This record gives sequence, C-alpha cells and structure tokens, in this order.
Amino acid sequence: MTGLSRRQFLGGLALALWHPHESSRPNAPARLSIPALGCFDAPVVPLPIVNGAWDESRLGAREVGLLQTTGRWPGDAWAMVLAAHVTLEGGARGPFYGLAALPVGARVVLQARSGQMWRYRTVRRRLLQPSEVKAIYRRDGRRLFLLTCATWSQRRQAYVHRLLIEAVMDSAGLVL
Amino acid sequence: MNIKKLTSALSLGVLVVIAAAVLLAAQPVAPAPQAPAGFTETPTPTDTPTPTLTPTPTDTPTPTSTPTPLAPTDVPPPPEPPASTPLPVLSDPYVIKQVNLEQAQVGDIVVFVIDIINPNPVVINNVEVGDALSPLVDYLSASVPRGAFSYDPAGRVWRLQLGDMAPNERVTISITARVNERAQPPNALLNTAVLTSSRGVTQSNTTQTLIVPNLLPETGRR
Repeated sequence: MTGLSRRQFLGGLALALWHPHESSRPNAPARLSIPALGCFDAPVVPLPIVNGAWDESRLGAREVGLLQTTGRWPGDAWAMVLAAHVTLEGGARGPFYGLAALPVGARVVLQARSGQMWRYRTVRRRLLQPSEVKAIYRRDGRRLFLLTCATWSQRRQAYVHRLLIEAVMDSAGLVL
Repeated sequence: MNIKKLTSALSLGVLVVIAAAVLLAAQPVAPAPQAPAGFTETPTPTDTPTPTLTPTPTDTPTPTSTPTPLAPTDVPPPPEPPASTPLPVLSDPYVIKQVNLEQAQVGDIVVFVIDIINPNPVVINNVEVGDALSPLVDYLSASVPRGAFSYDPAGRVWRLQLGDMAPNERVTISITARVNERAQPPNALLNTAVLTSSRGVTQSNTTQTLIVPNLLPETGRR
C-alpha cells in the first residue's frame, strides 16, 4: 500500500461505501491546517457511524475525522464537523491539543482533494456535554466546527466535556 | 385775393393732413396686425393661441376615427356573454407536511404538522388524508380540528376523513410520535402524507429527520 496507511485506505473505502459519490468529489476536504496550534496538513478522513456511534477508533493519531451526517464539503447544506484527539495514549499531544487556548480570529485552512484551499476564522468556543449531539448540526455550509475532548476527570479517568470551536469561512473563502 | 386763395389752399391742405391724421389714427387697429411686421409687438406670442387651434383640428379627426372601432366592438358583445360563464379552473388541494426535528435520537418526540388547503372558490368533496408512519417511530397522539380520525396500529396507518372542504378552507392537523429503538444512526426518518378527494390523489412533500448518535465522539486518550 504505497503512500496510504492501512487505516487511511480503510477509511476511504468506508466513505466510498457509505457515500459512493462523495469521497470522489473534488471539493471533499483532504487536509487541515491550524497554524496557531502548530497543526499543518493533518489528513482529513471520514469518521463513520458504526453501531449507532461515531467510530473514533478509526481515527489515527495524526488524523482529523469528518463526522458522518454533518456537512461533506465547504458550502454543503450543513456545517462540517472535524474531530481529532486532544491527547493520545501515553500523554502525547494530539492534533487538537491546545484547541481550548485557540484565540478567536485564529486562522484555519482546509485543503480540498482538488487542491483548492478554504480559509476560515474562529469565532466562538463552547463546552458541551457529550450528549449534546444536536449542537454540532448547523444548517450553514460556510461554518466549520472543530471538536475534541475537554476537562479531564481524574476520578472518572475520562474527559467529561467536549470542546466545540466554531469557525466561519472568510469572505474571501477560497485561497488562490 | 391771391392771399385768400393761398390761405384757403393751405387750410385745405391742413384739412387734408388732419383728415389723413384722423384716418391714420383710426386705422391703428388694422395696422396693429401689421405692426408685428415690426418687432416691438412681440406680443405676437399672444397670438400663440393659434397653436391651440392646431391641436383641436388634428385631434378631432382622430375621434372621428374612433367611432369605427366602436362599431366592431358592438359586434362582438353578443359572443362575449357565453365567455363570461366559464367554470373556474380548479386546482388540486394542497397537502404540506412539516416536522419539528431535523435531527432526532432514540426516545425523541417528533411532531408532524400537516396542512390541508382547498385553494378553490368551490367546495371539494370526499377529502381524506392518511399516512403510514415510519417503523422508526411509534404513534402517540393526534390533534385534529374536525373530521373522523382513526389509527390502525397493525398497519401503522392513520387516516382523517374530512368530507367536504369549504372554499379556501385550511385544516391543520398534527401527529405526535416517539422515535423507537429501531431508529439507528445514520438512518433517516422519511414521511409523506397522501390526500384523496373528488379531485383525485395528491401527495405531500416528504419530511426528513436524520437519526443521529446519542453521544459525541470521545477524542482523548491517556
């Protein structure tokens, strides 16, 4: 398997099976950069729903997952939601480590499979309960949500909140 | 004597001059029009009333022509009466369906609101609306302002017999159901109402509710 990890291959295959016409769309997101986090060109992979839940086990340490049932590309009817690890096993930093400290107005760049690039600015941050699923659905294709875990509970040995960063496509939108 | 002749001649001349002067004084009325030949009498503009003359003559001829169209219109009236009696063009009744949730989870209550509208100025007969509920929801209740409502649990079908609908009448009903365990993400809950009447069969739009997971992904490990 040249150039692609086994996980990426399976992820792409999964997306192709669920949305046969979507994975091949030239404007489907492929890479994400958040310069203020030191996150550059993180691969965007599909994060499918399996057995009634998003299967984050498919998410690689350096990957960003596009949640199935949310927007599929910039300008889609719904906002896209991209999720990534905040920390990894062993305490290593995930792609979204530091997201909580990301200032409003920070730049987010999304690159499509076609090479097109879309520029966003962060506008808001929210802390959600894990059950607040409907909060991530927004009928606005110019929005992008970044999602990760937050608030580590020593007692429960788990993150008890989810951090949702909302970004809006710049008026320029497309980066040429 | 010569002097007398001279004076009489002079007086005659004077008389002639006076007469001429009198004539001239009397004529100014007539010369006035000639004065325009001059320049001071710019009041000629007051003569502009002449333009008012031009329109009247030119316009009047047209009216004389209008009577001709009048004549033809007098001819058609007889055929018009039959055209005024046509029956109104009737439209099919409208059925519009809405749902309160775009995303739902197991256990959520969904409310379908259905508007039935008779857009016609006449009564529509035998109006009946019905729908087979999706297997992903369980029927709870219905709210109907009039008509005979029934629900068949075996077929999961509800039916409302409205009978006649008055001109431009609008009836709004709501069906309440609960998302059951069979609804698994990322299924979609689709629903369409069907109306039958003396006008035939009409389908509503299809509502769509996406079934979403109960929890956000857990993206942190230690």
